Amino acid sequence: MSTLLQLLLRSLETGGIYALAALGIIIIYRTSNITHFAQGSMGMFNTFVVTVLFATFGLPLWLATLGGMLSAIISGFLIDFAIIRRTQKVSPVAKQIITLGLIMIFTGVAPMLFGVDPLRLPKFFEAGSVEFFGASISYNGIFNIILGVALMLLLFYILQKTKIGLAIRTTASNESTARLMGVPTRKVTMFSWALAAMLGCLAGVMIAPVTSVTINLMDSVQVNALIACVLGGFQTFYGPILGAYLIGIGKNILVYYVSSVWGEQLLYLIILLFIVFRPQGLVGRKIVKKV
Amino acid sequence: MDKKLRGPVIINRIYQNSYVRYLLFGLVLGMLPAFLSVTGMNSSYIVNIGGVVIYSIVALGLNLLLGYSGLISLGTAGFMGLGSYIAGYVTATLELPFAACILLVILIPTLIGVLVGLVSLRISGLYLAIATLCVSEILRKTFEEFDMFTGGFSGLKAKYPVIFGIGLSREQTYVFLVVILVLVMMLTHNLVSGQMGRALHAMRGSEVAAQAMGVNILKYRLIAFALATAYAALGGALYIHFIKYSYPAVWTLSMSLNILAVVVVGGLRSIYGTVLGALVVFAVPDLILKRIPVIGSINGISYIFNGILIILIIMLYPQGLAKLVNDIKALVVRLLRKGDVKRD
Amino acid sequence: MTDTKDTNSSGEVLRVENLSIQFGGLKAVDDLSFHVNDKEIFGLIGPNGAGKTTAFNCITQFYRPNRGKVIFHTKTGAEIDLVGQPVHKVIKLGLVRTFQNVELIRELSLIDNVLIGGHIDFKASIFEQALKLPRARREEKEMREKAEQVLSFLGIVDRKDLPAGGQPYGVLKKVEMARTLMCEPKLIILDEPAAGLNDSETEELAASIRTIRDKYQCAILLVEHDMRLVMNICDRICAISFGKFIACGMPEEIQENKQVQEAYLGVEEE
Repeated sequence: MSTLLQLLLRSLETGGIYALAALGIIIIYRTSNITHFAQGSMGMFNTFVVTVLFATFGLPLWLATLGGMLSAIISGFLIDFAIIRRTQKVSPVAKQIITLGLIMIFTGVAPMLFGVDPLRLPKFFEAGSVEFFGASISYNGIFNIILGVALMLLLFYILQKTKIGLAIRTTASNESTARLMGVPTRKVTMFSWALAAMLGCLAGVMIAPVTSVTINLMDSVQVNALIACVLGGFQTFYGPILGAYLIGIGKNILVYYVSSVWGEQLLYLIILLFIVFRPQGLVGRKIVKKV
Repeated sequence: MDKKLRGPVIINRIYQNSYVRYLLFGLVLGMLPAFLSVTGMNSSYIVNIGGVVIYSIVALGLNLLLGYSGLISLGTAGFMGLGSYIAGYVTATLELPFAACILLVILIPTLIGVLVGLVSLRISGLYLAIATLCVSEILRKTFEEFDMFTGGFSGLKAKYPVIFGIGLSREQTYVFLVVILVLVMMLTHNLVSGQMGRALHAMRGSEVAAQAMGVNILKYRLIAFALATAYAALGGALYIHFIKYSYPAVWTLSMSLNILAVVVVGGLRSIYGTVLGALVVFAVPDLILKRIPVIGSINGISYIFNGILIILIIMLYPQGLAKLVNDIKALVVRLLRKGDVKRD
Repeated sequence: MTDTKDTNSSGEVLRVENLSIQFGGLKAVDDLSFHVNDKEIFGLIGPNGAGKTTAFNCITQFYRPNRGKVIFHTKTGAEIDLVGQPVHKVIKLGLVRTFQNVELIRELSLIDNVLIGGHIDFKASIFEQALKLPRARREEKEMREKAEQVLSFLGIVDRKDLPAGGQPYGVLKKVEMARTLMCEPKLIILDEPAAGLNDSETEELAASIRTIRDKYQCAILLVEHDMRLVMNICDRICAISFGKFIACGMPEEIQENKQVQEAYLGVEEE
């Protein structure tokens, strides 16, 4: 029982990280109509910024993280302004390639600015853990979980209850109509790219202590975030979040209880089968083809 | 006909034949090592161009899938990796002849490719793309864990191929690669210019019209995926026998995206364009940038340049380099014609 | 269901029996029955929203009807109920259709688009095509010649190598028509062929339809809005409204039919 609980707690942590990245991807997808393959790379880049601010400039971790947020906002704005704005008449497939170009740019700039050696980023709370019905979880773990959930709730509050959130939802539902109705879609896309970058950075900062800060930091997060979006369906904002937590749970449970060697493959296989039988995802609506 | 025109007309007619063009192209490409050794340039260029040849083959398969059939796959890396591991296992561990290796490499992954094709009937677009990513990741993690066959994280090693008992050197393997590329280009040309190509076009352009004209969508989807997978697996087999090793960290989403970039940058539905795209995506950074003094040695500069280049091409010339080349050709022809008129 | 009954005796090429389909609560087609004779030019008419297109999609199996049969007399003389047949098999039996939206492939040339119509007649395998073996080469050559003949018959062979993308609407409609002729069908169903055409083009279309019927000895079912075209060339007409059958007969009979007039013009004031 306690192992199960332990696994669940750990899943909430991993799931939360995937969820943050997935949220970034789905926001970009619904407002700019692009599949953001570079979410991971941008997160990696901004996590490097945090690490450098912390390690080289000696800023306290929370301040360094804020610095990373700032860099994320700037990079998000830059990308939207310099590139995304000008890709109106590009085909959807070509748009994915643009994000590939972004991956390459970030993968190139990172070693250029930060060197090639792996760096270390500490946790928010280095030590201390809590016992919970026989399962133990570190303070850091609790913090990550709560931070993740809090952020998600905050973003949903913004989406549902504020003007900018309404603007985002309108743009997401139909960009040209939104523009015609006077919604400031340019601001919306700018904001979305900045937001996605921030979420990516946060995910990176959360996962960095587990491994080390290298170019490949966010590779698995990127893949899992994408799969979370497909699992949850690209039609809603909360579908991918759900998908992300499910992936976190599924991964931990399958790897522990079934097979540590084949657990992840099994998870993906199950997800694949699920998608085949329910193509619209967990919470999507079925799209009917018209003749 | 004027006597002095006859010569060029005959040459022109021969040149019009597509196969002749492919052969000439292969000839030029194949003479590269000789050219390099004569001019005294660094022979490690061969490895890069050889890579371009291999990636071209894989990308041609993806072009069949994306450009002609309109189906997206992000699973290319997984299948290429699978091909490389099967090939390596067959020649290095089982020590079977190279021909057996090619046969198995095309057979086994294609079966899985057909399964993926079945999946494509239920889902489309982005969902299909990520589903293929799932498959690729399943394969990649299997490469990591199945160390009995794959050597796990440290990968599998192989040597240059041995054909009909003759062990090939690096340069000879390179020529072998070029030969395969030319054959694949010609095969692809035949396929897309005939009934199958039209059926794929129809499937992409208007599924309802295709069905009304008797195109069995299921059959052609499966064919498209089978072909794309076969090309990728073949590329993988050539990869491990030229680069001489294969390990799981190569076969990632990045690799699949790069090959997708080759197709889009080169130009959908263009055979030569695909090779051009492979040159841009895979060779330009190492061949050109790293050699530029001072700038070349900055870490990551080639990546940055490549990324910017790709983005520029997509933004300015969304139809790809093949169209750019055609436009340049048309411009040159027009300028020459203006010159002729003036002379009269 | 195959029946080796001699179909020439009945003279019918298509018999629609009690065709019904509903979407949700809406009965789009309600118990519709009519038949089309061999080599006849037949019109299916009705006001907007009458269910013509839906009926048509049910016949060609793009929709699966809830009830009813669609008996077709195939090229080989068999009688088959089309309901439940896969969409792509329908053309093999000898029934082919056009699309109101002109579904051509923009990037392909006109002749390549027409060649798609000949898809089912290619017997060479993928393997043979890849290696351009003799049978594949021969088939390609023969089909190309056939396609050129058809294009020439419709008067547009000089454009055959141009991409469909830039061609005027009238030309595209002809290419769609050419595509259907490749398989030498027994019945061609035309989906609003006069849509988007001006008067002179419509006259040309009328002449083409007659010539096609005469040359290819096939029946033609027109689903159409343009009354003049329908009255002009159809041997018989079936009128429907709100998915239900109203009347069937010769053009003059239909013109004078009170119910048809009501359906189009509304109920007359007494």
